Amino acid sequence: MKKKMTRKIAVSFVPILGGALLAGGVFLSGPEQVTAQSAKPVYKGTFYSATRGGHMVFTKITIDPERDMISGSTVGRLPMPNNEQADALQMSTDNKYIFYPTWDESMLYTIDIQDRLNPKVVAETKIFDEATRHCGSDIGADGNLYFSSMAQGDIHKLDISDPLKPKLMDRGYKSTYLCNVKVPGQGDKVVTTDMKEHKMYQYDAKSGKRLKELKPGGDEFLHRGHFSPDGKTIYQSSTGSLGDGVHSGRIYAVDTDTLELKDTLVIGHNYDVHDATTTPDGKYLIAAARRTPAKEFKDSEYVVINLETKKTIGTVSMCAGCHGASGVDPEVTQGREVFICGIQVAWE
Amino acid sequence: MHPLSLSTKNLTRKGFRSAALVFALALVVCLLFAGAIAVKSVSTSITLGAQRLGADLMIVPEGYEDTARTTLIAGKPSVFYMPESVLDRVRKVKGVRRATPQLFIQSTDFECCTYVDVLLIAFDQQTDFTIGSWLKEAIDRPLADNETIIGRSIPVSTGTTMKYFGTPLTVVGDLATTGLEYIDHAAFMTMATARQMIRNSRVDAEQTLDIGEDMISTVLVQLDPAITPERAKVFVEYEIEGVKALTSQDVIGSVKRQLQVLIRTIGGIGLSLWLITILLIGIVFSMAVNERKREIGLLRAMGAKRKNIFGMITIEAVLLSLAGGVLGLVAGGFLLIVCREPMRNAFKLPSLWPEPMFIFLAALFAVGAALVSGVVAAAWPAYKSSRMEPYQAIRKGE
Repeated sequence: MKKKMTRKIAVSFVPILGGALLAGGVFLSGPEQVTAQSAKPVYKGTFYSATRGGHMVFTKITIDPERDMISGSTVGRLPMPNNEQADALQMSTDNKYIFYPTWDESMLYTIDIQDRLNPKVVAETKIFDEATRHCGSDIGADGNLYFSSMAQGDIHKLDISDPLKPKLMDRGYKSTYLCNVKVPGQGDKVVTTDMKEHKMYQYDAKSGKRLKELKPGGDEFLHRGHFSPDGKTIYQSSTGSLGDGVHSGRIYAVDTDTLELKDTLVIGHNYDVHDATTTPDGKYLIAAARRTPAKEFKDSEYVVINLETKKTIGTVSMCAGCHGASGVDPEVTQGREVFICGIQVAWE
Repeated sequence: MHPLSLSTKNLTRKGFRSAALVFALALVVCLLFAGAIAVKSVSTSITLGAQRLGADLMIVPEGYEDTARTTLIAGKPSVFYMPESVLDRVRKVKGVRRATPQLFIQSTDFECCTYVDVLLIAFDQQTDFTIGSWLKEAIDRPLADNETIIGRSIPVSTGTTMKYFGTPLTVVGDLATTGLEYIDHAAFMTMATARQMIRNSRVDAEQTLDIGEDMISTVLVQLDPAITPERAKVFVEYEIEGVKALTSQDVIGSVKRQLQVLIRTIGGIGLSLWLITILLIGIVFSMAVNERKREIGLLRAMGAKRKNIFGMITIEAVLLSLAGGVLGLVAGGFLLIVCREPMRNAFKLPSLWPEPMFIFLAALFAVGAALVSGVVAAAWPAYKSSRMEPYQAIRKGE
């Protein structure tokens, strides 16, 4: 009995001793090795999203890979001067500006985000007389800004060499009800999604000829998406099922070059995914997802997913939390719903 | 007795009531028919006019897009100018196959001193691709200096010399009606004549034309078929500062927006009237059936079958609807002929009669709508009357 007890104590003492030795070693070896030990970087970024509420929202999020968890700070909002809803937004390559086009008045706002949590509208440009309802966005290798128009069914290319005076310079790649637009690599191809045709299309940028198409799921709305950091994959957001007002939001990983479906990530019931982007190393995916039924939840969340384990590590409420805190109960109407769409992240 | 003659007698017996129903139906048919033809007339003439213009784009100075649309649609003389250098820049834009300048001159501001109020349009015969084809229909040679070809709306005969800004213009021909006031209400001359007119206005006219030697009003563009007008419009506006490009769809679209109001008004009134009329017919027939219970009972007692009674009431409804439909068509046609010019002037919209087939189909639809309304409204009373038991009907009818 005594012998057994002594053995137990000895066995339990070994890891304690081991840990103490390791800690002592680390302490004695100096601070550089401490850093080398915890090699996983912490991701901090300011997240900006377009909304249907007439304002851009933003928040600071930290993703800690060590503990596989996230933390988000208070949500802020920047009201748009015309109080119009929007889906698309695009950050300039130097991370200084966000281009924010509103739906029906087709006003393109240039927002200065150099002071990350204090964004300011610094310019407004009327790009069309008719409604555009821009949804997707990207900046190509040529430095030009691309927006996809749901209302007009084509891609609008803008010269943003002067960010305060964006100028429409071309349009094309027509289909029915466009949402996503991505300009991979050197800009020799353009990838779009069409919500009514439920397909992704790949075009030759020069001739405008359609090269490939993919229907990654069923009859669902394919919204916005982003490239993986190496540009080889497009993370394409989708509503999942349609029709009953409750969705099974998902993200399709699509090969940029071959336009073949590589993987499907189901966010789940009650989520309608509108955009998806990754951390700079591509290990985490951040989805902008509307909670459905929309009238019940009146909220959208950033859902952070570990792409290795494919598990959600955390969510941040971007609508209901803020509305609740400020005592606002927004009315849900057509074109004026309570959700966020596009994501842009200024990583630190 | 034949059911048709029985129905006719029933209708004539209650003359005022029948006339009221016919009138109500006629009103609906008149509105539907005249409305459809009026809207189609405007849309046809704009589409045809835009096609006849032969240009994919019309480039105007920025800020004058609405003025230019009004000029095209209503032929309203407008004054807007831009440097001629725009023409060379337009020619270099991707997708542009041909480009030609035009210069607009407002005939005069003084009502006292104008020969006839027209839109004077100067064009370049060397590069033109729009006016030339119409000219061939009028004269088989190029237009000489101080000569003009006029649109069909200008009340001047060939051979007449008109004087504008100290410059005589001899009318050498007129163009066929296009429906586009920009063409129908214009006098076309060469660019050299227009330049001379500007110079003459400084020495020999009540009003000086303040137009520079190197100014033009618009550039008309024909595109490479591979480039859509919508795309070329973006190219032009991106490449050339201070100009706007109008596509034919822009022009047609602006008319359609104007027409929307008209369509909604006519549609709203028509729909309300239609529903009221259906309700009215239903009520009147129900009343009539109630009044005629004894008569229906006797007919049934004498051997008339249920389907005969149903048929008799339905035939009455058909006769009323047909009469209302035909009367409505006549009234609608009359309204179109009488009100066409006042409407054109009031709305500043062109109008060409649509194709005969469209008129025929519109008439058929309007009469059909009246017929369906009448039959549907009378269906329930007819069914109810056919179900009456002879004895009960006679007793209740007493």
